[in-house]
Amino acid sequence: MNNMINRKEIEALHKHDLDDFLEKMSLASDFNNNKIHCTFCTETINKNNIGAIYTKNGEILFSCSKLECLNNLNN
Amino acid sequence: MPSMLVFIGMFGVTLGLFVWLVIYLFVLHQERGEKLVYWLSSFIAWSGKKAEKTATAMSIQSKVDSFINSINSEVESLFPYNLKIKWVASDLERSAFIEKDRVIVMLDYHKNKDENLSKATILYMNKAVIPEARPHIHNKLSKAIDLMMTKKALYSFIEARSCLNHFVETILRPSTENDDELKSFCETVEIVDERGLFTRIMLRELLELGLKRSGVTENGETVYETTEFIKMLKTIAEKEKGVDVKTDFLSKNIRVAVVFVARPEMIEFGTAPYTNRINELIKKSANTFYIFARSDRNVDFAKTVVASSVSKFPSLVNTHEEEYAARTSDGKILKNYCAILYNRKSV
Repeated sequence: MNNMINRKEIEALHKHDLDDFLEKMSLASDFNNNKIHCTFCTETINKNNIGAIYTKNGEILFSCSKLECLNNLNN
Repeated sequence: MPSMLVFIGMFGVTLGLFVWLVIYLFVLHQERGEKLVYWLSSFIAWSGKKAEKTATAMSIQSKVDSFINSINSEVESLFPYNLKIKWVASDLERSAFIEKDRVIVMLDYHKNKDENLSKATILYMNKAVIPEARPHIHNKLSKAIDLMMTKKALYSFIEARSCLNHFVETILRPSTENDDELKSFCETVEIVDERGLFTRIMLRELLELGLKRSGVTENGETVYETTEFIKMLKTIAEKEKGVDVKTDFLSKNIRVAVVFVARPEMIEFGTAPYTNRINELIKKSANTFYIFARSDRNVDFAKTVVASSVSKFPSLVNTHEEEYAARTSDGKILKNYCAILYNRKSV
């Protein structure tokens, strides 16, 4: 029964919902104009390489899908 | 009337079977229930967002939860949390989204399961493995535990082996290449794991320590203690057959003794040499005894030692017993045994 209660949540966004989400965050224009970059490797973020979206002190930041960049989110 | 009874009988059996199946799949073995839901939703994933998202989440949760269950069979509650993929609502307002620091992993369609699995596993490990102990261990050891635990999990996802290769090439190797300290901790975790001591002793003791020290501000003392403890486990893991090394660690927070029932020639002397040693360590307030044995004859004798110790010393409680396969220092895979005795009178 404990398993039913104890679950560690990982928040996720499905690629299905990305456009709507970016629109709501007022980031769609920057995203579509290649103005968003990975915080860790500075690569331009697009629909194919987006790995994670994270917030820090009220700012919305992005990581590409490279595992070494995602791993930085654990530090 | 008889046909009515037959109907009720059949209906009752069917209902009972259905209830049992629901309990089995969604209470007792949730990872199997998740696999079933994944399987069903992947069939209809084309029909809409909801089914696709359910298939994506379940394909990840079922695999990670299977891994968690296998680890928890070695050490109960080592992973107190199963994984839950929580979908962020796409219509969330910006102000609500940024009001706290958060990490949102981007997941692809369920068919791209390898990439989804690697991403979710990496982010999950740091959150779920011994979170309470993190402030009390060396930061490089903490990172080594995440890396090696992720490697262990990805290795266990047999149908998604490309994730493991990708992880080793892009994270593990580059992380350790230019960091000798991290590399050394990773090597320690690896050899301790090969001997079956990583989850059974190392993580278990760190978990206990984290709980014991929760709420206490770390001043470096416990970090030193845990680092010394890890060094001792490495020495034990690297020990050659027939060589004696120190196997007890009696410090401020970690007070454990590892007892190896490893010499067949000792069997003729009975359990006394072992129970006498355990008695001495109880007097020194050892908290936990790990009894290990390898190969059939030693395993049988170790069980006798455990039974004799528990009946002789009322303060000892046998909290865990298991048989498992592990690698010896010369590369052989042998039957192993581990029992964990807890000393209730330890201070």
